[in-house]
Amino acid sequence: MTVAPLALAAIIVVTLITMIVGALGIRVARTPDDFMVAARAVPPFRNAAAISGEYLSAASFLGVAGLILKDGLGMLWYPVGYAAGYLMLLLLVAAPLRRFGAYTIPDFAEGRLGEPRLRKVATAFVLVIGWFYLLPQLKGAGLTLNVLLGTPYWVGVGVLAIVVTSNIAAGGMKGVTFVQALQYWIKLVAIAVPAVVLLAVVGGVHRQALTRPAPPVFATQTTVHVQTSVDINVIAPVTVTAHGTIEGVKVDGPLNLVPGKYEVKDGAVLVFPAGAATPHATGLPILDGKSWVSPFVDAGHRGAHPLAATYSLIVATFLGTLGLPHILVRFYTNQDGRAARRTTIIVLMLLGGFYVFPAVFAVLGRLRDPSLYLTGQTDSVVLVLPHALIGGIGGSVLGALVAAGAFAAFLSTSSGLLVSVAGAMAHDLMRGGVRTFRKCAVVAGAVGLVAGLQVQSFDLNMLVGWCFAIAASTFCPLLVLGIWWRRLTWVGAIAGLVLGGCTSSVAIILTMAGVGQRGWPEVLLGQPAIWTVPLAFLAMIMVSRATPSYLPTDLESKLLQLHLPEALRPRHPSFGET
Amino acid sequence: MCNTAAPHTVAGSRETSTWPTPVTEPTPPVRPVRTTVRSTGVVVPRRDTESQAFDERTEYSDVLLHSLMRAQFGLTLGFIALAVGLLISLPLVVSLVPSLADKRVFGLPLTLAVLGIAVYPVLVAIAIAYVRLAERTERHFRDLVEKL
Repeated sequence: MTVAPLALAAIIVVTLITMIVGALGIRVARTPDDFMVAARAVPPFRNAAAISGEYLSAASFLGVAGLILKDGLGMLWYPVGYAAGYLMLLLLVAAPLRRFGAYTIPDFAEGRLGEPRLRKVATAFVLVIGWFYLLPQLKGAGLTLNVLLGTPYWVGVGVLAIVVTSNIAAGGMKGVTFVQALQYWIKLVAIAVPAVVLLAVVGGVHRQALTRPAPPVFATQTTVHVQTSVDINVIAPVTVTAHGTIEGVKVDGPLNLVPGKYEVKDGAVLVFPAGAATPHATGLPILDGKSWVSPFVDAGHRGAHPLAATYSLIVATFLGTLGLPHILVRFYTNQDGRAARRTTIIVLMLLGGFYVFPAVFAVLGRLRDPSLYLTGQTDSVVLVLPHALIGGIGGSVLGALVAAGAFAAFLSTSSGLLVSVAGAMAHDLMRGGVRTFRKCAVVAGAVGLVAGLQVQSFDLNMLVGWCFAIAASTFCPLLVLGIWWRRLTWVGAIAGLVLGGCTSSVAIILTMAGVGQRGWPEVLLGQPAIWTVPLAFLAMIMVSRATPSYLPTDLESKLLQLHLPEALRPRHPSFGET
Repeated sequence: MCNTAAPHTVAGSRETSTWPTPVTEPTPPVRPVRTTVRSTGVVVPRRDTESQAFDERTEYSDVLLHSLMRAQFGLTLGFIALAVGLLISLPLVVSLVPSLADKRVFGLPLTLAVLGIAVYPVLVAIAIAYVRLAERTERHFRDLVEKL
């Protein structure tokens, strides 16, 4: 693979830059106040770029294209959901949350409802969501290094975990903050340039072929190198030229394959004639053109209830964004409520500007190089397509560019998550200082590493979708009701958090364990948001109504703090006794 | 430091000036980690208006605040209905009229054209419209308060 050395170089460069800037950041003695003051001066555009940059993680960068390639255009609901979630954030919480001044969600919970136990419960879910969101980043790293360099999955996971943990434990977070605004542009360039070049070079794409009522075919004579042993489903009779071990038999020459399952050992090379139907790895759905362009999530294989599955994903992504603790923390860097709103508009533009590109890879992959269906490695389409379709040094450079962007995505998101988790552990749970934080960073990183090794078989975006489901079932009701409903009590808040959080977590764990493969269990456990979110809201509302004596004292002051526009606040606020 | 209110003439008023206390107890900055920073909720209070309606809390200010909250929440709900309504209508329509999924827009399958491209400018447009209206609501509120 000629892309390997260039890609490795690109990844090393990106990692080194992050670590060096992080190390430099230590010298600039920043106290939280310095950070605050600087944050208030950051203009909305740069803020928006920083927020967008951190938001675009492995799932967005690698996962979306791979998921669309595998499961069809219906998977566009993921990126649409990620972007629409930001609109919901704007509509529901942006200005009031900023005006309230709480820095984290546990801060908001205790400040708004006045109960330290609520803070602890909230912190617990900050940890759950944060760790969960780390998993797709680690998986992404394992996948990337495996695809580009041939290393085993655990190498990528280990490298990312160790780099990020040591960077943060050494105090390098400030440096990562420093380059946050650049992260968006790095990622945008890394995905847009190859996409545009691919379209231009490969061009003349027969878009009609997308909706052909048949599975994908090889556009030209294609040589497929099978690097990992895989069982394939041959769909239509085809004569291949094979060199390798198929079904235990060593083959070296033309081979007639009839529809059926075949075991292909690693190291095999298969040459398919133009027009041949692409065999799929078992476990991948075989979608004809019509199913592939369907606007439903999970259109093809088991899709027993496509409408419900789609709506459940919509609920999770639309309502989950505002419940993601690491996103809201980043939000605080806005100057005031008005700036918070404006920044979100820019974030939406930047996200939209990014999300139009992953689909390009999926479409081109399906039409021009469907060999990924055979190897089963659809998740890697963004990494391998530039090199596969554009040979020579140009393809290698583009491949390296994408690799750099991918690793930038993993590094920035993982760093932000680890700081969030370690910070919550150190400060909200253990009430410690710098030393505690560093120990927590190491512990959090280690737990993440172990967990990351377990999730190789799960879709990047499914992992993220689950994370959103938990956020939507816990912090979304807390924030929305806390901001807009006077009668929320801390008892009700805890009830809702626990009910929403536990039901969504249990559903997800069951799905990961393989329970619920078809029908309603698959839909309701696989993406539980459609029932866990209303459940959480109901619990919060009903329990709050039943416990009116637990309303916070000074409720009206809190509401003033949330909702009063900046211009009407008194010049000299007094902090008198209440 | 600050004013304690002289008793108001409005019935049912409270005597002390009770601007919201800080969100959490102020503590000294402990470490160079940006996870939790204790701060007050008020950022650089600057005032463009002479109104003192919110310098102290009274029943009056409470009523005003609640009317503002209601207005803003109504706006939020309206826009949520718009955005969500637009977006969830696509799967609904296609499930009722399946042949729509094969239709093409500029040569692209409908799903790709709508979910892959068209949705993003729509989201941005909705966001811009909302922010304009939300800020206008705040301006009207300020005008209202100033006249009192």
